[in-house]
Amino acid sequence: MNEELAKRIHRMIKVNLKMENPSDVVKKFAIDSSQLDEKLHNLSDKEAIDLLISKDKGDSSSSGVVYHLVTSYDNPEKFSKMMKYILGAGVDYWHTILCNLNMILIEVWHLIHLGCKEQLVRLIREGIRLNVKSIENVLMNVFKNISGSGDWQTKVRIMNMLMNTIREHEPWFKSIKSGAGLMSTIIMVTSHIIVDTPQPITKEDQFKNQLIVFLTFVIRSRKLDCHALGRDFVIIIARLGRIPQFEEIWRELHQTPGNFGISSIEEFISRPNIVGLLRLSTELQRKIDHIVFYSKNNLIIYYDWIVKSHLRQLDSGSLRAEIVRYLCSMSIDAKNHGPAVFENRIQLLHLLVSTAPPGPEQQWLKLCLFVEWFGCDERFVNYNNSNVEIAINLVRYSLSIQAPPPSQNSIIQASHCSPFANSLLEYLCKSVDLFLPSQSDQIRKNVNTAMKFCRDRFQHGLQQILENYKIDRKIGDQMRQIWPDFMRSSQNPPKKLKKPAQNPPEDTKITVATVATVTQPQYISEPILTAAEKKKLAEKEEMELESSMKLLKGEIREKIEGLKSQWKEFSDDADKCEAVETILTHLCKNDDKLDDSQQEIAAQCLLAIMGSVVVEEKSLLPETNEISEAFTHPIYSIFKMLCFPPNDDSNASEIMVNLMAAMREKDASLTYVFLYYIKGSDTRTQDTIEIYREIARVSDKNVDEMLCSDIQLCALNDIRLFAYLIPFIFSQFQDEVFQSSELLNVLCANLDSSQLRVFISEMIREEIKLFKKDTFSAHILASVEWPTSSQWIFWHLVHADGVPIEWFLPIIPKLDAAKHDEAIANILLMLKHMDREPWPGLIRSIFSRIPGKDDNFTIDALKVLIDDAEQCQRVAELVGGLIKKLIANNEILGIGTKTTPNTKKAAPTKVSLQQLLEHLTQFSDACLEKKQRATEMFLSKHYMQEAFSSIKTNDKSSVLTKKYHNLFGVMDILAADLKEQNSRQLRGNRQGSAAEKSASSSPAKRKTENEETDSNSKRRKCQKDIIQLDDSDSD
Amino acid sequence: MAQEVQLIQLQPNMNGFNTTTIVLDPGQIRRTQQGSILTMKVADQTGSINATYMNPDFSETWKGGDILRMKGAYTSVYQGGLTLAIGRNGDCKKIGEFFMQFSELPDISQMALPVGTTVDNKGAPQNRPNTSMGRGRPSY
Repeated sequence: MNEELAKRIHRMIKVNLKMENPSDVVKKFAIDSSQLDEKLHNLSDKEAIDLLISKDKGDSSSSGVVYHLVTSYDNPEKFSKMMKYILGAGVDYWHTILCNLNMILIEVWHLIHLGCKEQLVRLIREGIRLNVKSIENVLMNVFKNISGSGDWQTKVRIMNMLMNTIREHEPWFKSIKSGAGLMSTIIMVTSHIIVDTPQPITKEDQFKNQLIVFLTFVIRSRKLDCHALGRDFVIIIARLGRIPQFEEIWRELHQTPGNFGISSIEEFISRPNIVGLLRLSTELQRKIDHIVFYSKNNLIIYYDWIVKSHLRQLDSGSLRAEIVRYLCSMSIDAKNHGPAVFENRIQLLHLLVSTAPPGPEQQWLKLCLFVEWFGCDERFVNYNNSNVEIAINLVRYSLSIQAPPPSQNSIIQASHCSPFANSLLEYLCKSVDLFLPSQSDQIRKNVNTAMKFCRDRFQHGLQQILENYKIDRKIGDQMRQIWPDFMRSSQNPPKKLKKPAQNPPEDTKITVATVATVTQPQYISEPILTAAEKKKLAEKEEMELESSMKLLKGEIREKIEGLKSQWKEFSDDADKCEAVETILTHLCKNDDKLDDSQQEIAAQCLLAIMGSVVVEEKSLLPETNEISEAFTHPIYSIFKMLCFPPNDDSNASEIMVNLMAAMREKDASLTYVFLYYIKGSDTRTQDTIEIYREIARVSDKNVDEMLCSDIQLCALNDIRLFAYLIPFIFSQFQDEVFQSSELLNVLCANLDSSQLRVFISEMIREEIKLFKKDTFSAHILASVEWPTSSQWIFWHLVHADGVPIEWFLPIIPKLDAAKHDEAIANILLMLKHMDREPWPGLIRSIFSRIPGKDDNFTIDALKVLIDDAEQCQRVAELVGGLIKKLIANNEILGIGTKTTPNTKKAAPTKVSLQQLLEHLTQFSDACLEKKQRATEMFLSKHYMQEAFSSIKTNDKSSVLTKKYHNLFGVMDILAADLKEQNSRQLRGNRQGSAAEKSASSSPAKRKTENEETDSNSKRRKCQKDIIQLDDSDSD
Repeated sequence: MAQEVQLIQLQPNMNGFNTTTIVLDPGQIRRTQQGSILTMKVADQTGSINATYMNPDFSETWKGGDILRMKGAYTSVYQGGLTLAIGRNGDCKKIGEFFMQFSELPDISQMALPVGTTVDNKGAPQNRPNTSMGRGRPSY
């Protein structure tokens, strides 16, 4: 590239040509400008204009002219000269100029210098002044680009210029034809700049105020154009609602919606944004599209790049919200794109919302996600364009993902998984009555319509999302209140309470921002299916049965059809059981073994004829009778044959397992009923448990996976049976319990207080053992992701199991002080109640945590350990020993260094002397001069004093004395105090026994309370030694 | 004109080829006795690989997501792994950003080398054939 061209490129963009080839568009502008200069050389203005408008040169010359216009930021004469050419070239020439401007705006706006951007806006101002046709579209593209990359200061300057340009040409602005995208873009962009602009510090800083005045001017002068924004307009005004000017607009919207061309605010909320594609800069929009359509497995990497390039400025929150709204309104054609594209959209939404700073910013993003639900009015919205399933898909996705261990540095954290799903649902439930209090009934209807759309889309999958065991009970109750027709009723229905009273004068106030702080809505229980729906369902099942029977062949078909025709004639369960057993015997003894598909169909037909043993709202567990008498349903005859196959034939056993697995596909509750049968019948328990495992294997599931599903389903359907089965399951499936954190999660999510008592009682009686050393760490690390209530139950179980503190050592350095509150609190309590002396491993583990300002764990742990005077001596000995060891091993410098040098982030951290001193500094800052004076005692111990002396005398470690001079200062003061005390004691001893008698009255010899304790404990130890000596003597 | 090669086709002792990659990890520039070396991780649709740029004329690094056009590249073996390298006779420039599909796996620098590969750990291979275009990565 020649020097001249490079120079021209540098005038337009900042680029290092040794590293980068400039964009083709920039190169074209630079080359065209060079050619233009050659052609215009020595031409008069008139000749130059003639050349510009000649047909063969027009296109390339116009880009040369635009180049000179945008790069003449330091040369006003050149700008004037080029403007003169354009004016001379006439109206048509403007068209080519605008095309070139749009090319810059769309392709290279994010690359060009601020000066070029300002020149471009100046050129647009000239165009507006001359009332050039379609100039408003170019102006709109400049506004759009503000929702893109670029530093905040640049955006502020351009925004200022744009505002001034419009205010200078108000008549032009008011005369633009209705329906142009300009108004919507201005409203979307300016509103988010208002929100993102910090409050002014000085009186001179009027930018925010100017923006407010400008936006109110735009809205008030173009009210009818606002309806193009649909529900987005409502949430924009809601977001700005605390500003008095916008509160007035909100009132007007509420009271006289006709001014905005709509009949009611409900209609506004129900309308989609028809200019939604104008909300992002072209560059950002293309990147988002690329992620959704082409990212494959690299979505997180692309997202990271987006964050670095776009989401690190003051307006990152608003940009996130715009991207969320863009993704929610994006239409993806299922015919042309696979499911991965839909899943990418959900994953991207998840990252955008879950990684946003918690608080108002995240709440706003949630509103952006759910606003389609609030406006899902059947009168205006149809199933195909609703896009409401996106939010539920996001809940599903959040419930399904697992966070990596906390030690790994991953974008996805534990709080982004099920807790995030819970927070989304909670937000939706709470917003229903508060988004627009006056319209809460309509919004309630709308969210139910939205849920109906979701049910149509997800079919049976919806139930698995809404009643997932990872959803908190409290939130489940709230959901039952909002969507009574879509959720099963609770086993413990709360009291029916009144709906919160609405205060009419408050209706026009904007409450969106306060949604997060409101109290929980009240519970209203309602039936699940109406009689008509039940009838319809029964008819559908009947038809399915008929068609399935037709697929059967030979004798088995005759027998099953016979059974179906006789079924209603059987007078009692015994006859039914006998008939079922006959068919099963036939299936097992049939010499021509049925193939797998025939077995499967036969099993499912049998199940359809028998009907489910699980009846809604009726426990399988008898209240008064003997349990063995409760197994009368024909399904139990299948279980009986499963446990005792005819003639103990292995072939028959295999067939029965296959039948059972096939039935389970239709009715997942069967396997927990089978567990109930195993426990209730109490025969051959171990063998029958093996059959359960076999069913899991045939169903292509892990045993723990099937157990999780069974326990969860049982907890939902039959809480009494759940309480009965849980101790049995956890005692019989010991291996799975040790291995599966998920099983513990289901347990902890469903136990109530009385069940917990029973369960702990079983643990105390050694019937159940939940933990073993090698898998315990994994359980703890998994538990930190669970809801708080589950975690507290988990910790009760940990204490009940008597897990020793030694098992926690590998976990202590991995816990995050900010996120893992439950685990940290419990470990501290365990340290407090520890019944053994501290040992080196414990001390090393405590100090291996990376010191942090907000992390008090190490401080608290040390304080807990030294509270006992006897233990304090031991801790001082261990810490002193560790210091000496670190010096000896030359492990002096560094904080948070890994044990393996290969930058593996999951590797445990190594304790260095510097890290230890950092902890001790924080410890002394926080714990000195307390009532007990335990810290002073600890630091005065000769082990500690000796260790600190070694630090000072060692050449390599002495550098730390300067860095931690405060800590060393404290140690010196304590050493001096100790010396003084010792010398006083010595003097006291020299004064003889007479003086000793009066020691208690002498202030110099008065012992502090702690010293008293110290000496007492020494005495105790001495006595202990004596006792030990006595014992040895006796031997 | 040198051939365009995909990363999965790279073999030890190849040289003088062109390739287009996207930067995953921009790495850093290190000063050594032989001069400065920019090390980074790059990828294309077929996998990712460690790359080095010897004696660059600049002191910054590219950014993650930058798309690089590499000309006159060669392969070398460093610490037992295949590395893509640009030397004095090569050229590497950013031609765009973000809009390129890629795959992190396989990590070609972590894959086993063909049996009998002769390597010079200090840099370029000892015997570089004029063209030795990829035959696809062998499976071991």
